Amino acid sequence: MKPGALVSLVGQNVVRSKKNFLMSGFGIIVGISTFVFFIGLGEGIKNVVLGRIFLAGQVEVVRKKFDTGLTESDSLFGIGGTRPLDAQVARELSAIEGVTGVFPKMKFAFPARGWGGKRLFGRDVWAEIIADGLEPEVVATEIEQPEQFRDWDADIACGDGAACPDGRTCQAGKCERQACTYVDPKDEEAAPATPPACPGESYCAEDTGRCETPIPVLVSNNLLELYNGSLATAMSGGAGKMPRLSKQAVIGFGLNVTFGKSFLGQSKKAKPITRRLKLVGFSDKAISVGVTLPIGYVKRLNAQFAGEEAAATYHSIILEAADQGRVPAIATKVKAMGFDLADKTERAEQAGMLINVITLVFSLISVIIVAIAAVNISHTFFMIILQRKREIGVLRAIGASRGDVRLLILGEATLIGLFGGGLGALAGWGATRAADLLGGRLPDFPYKPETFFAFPAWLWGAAVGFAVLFCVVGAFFPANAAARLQPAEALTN
Amino acid sequence: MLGLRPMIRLAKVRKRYRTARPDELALRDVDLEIATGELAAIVGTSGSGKTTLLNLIGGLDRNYEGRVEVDGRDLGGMSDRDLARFRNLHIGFVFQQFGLLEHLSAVENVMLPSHFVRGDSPVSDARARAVEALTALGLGHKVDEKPRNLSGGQKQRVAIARALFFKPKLLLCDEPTGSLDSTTGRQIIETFQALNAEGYTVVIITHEQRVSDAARRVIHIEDGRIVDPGRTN
Repeated sequence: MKPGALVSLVGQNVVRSKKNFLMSGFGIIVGISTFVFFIGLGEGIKNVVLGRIFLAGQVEVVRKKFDTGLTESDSLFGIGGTRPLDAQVARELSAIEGVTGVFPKMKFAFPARGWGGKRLFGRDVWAEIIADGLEPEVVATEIEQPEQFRDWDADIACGDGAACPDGRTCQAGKCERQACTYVDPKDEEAAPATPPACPGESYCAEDTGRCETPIPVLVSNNLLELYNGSLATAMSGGAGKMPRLSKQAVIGFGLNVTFGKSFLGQSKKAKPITRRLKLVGFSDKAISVGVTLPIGYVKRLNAQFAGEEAAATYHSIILEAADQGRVPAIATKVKAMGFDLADKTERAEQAGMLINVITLVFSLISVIIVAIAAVNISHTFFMIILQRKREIGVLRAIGASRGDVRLLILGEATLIGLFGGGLGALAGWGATRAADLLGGRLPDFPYKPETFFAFPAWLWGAAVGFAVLFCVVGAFFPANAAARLQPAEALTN
Repeated sequence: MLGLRPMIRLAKVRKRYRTARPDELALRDVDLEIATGELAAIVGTSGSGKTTLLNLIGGLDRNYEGRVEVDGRDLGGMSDRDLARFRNLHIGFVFQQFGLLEHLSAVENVMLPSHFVRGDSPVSDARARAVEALTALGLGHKVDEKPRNLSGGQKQRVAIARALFFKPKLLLCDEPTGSLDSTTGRQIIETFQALNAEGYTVVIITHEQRVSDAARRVIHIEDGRIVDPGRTN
């Protein structure tokens, strides 16, 4: 049969049996709307959990840990243990199939403490500083001003139009720090008219007597979520009330840090020094709780306060996978190389699996609804074929083959599936909007998303395809029964 | 003008329905030839086997023994698809209850055969041809009417227009005047006579005397047997 004729006949048949089909299609609409709702919910939750809480699509490699029950160490009583994570290991890991990026991370191997925040909190806040470092190019595409997240203490070339940052002058093609006179901040407060010793953002460091550029740092998106969702909320009723902060409000935030000394202890390798940090952006690759510096700073500080070995060994290496599906194979390969996965990676895998299982269970419910609807559709078609038996005989007499009759019935089922699937998807989407509206009225909590749902493109195709498939399956036996009718038998009905 | 080659040829045709007793045959060793260009009436009492015979000639029933040939083609040797194509292009059917699809207009009913054309026989001007067929039968003003708005005679003429859509060689009519009053029935019979004069081979199943009187040959069937093959007048 010609496609145009098929479409025309199918359309006319569906229109004249619309009452029967509306009843049967209702089940499809309900089933598909629940399918869209639950898959959308599962994807939405997965986005939050794996995209913001845990970072999916990444594998964080650490040295194998030995747990004695009391302590955890890199070797068992000094015996065995995996190789330290160094540049050679990073190269080996980059060779694993499916790995598109290798990002070494190095943590502070010495104590540090910081203070500041008077502008934001009304008073200075003191805290232990936890920090790590990574290569600036790793986050270059993720932060708004990547040029600010760089190692200012590395050699900076100048001349031929290239200027030096504040507090530095161009000497023999290199930006050299200007000499300055350190003034204690307390004295500065007492005599505010004193002109600053260093220009712009630069400041005079006590230990070097030169103008230093603030060390750029990144913080995790999660940290602001945790602060706003937990700390600010917890402190909202007390005397030490802390404001909720936006990203824009804290960009440029400055903090003084003493390296080599904290509330818990002091480095024995070198005398503590004080520097300024400046927040320049947010990144999911930054340390969860703490600050992330360009790795060059961490290497130099580790060498200064913890020794050369600490400066050459990474604490973890993040491997970025080409896609989420490659993560399990990469994880297996990493373990085979004798390394371990960070707890976060393990938890992400478990969380992803749990969400998938829950989504699957709810999706099964929608599958059952659609399957019941398909049985109903099957009954409807059997009834319709009985009603149209003589008509089928006439069609056969004037030239319709068995295949044509089968195609007509399955065409009607396809059309019902398209309509049922389309309306079901629309209804499901409407239900998700309603759920989001209700969810918006819930009090704030960490990681509260703007929407609880996500709709990957395949979901719409799957919803309609799923509806069509079940309708066609439901109509398959009636269509075959109709096709098997002998024309003479049908005409004598 | 009668052709030399038979349009229909049945040899030793037997038919037994599945639900019948083993010795209960609907057709018993039927041998029959109907020449090209004949206007033949097959008459017999109810249950004599005339509709069964028409079904076999029209390729509507394939469960039989013997050989059925139409226009030199052995229908028993054709696949379902080939047989459907043969019916589509070479046989026109007219039924007692008209066999019109109630949700389609007159012209859409007439065009129906064009939907099932396969392979190298495209029909680009189906609607124009359908309108032409309806106009030729005096229904040019009813092309877009639904069957429910047509009289019995008009419905039967729509059915005849549909049967003639591809100008088939053979027109098979099963009690075509059975649902019509005498005046309308006479008009329909005259239509068949006119078509026969144009060269169509027309076979009419009937139990009405006036219809058989109009035929040039009357074949009598009784209890599944051709008791009188008749002669062309």
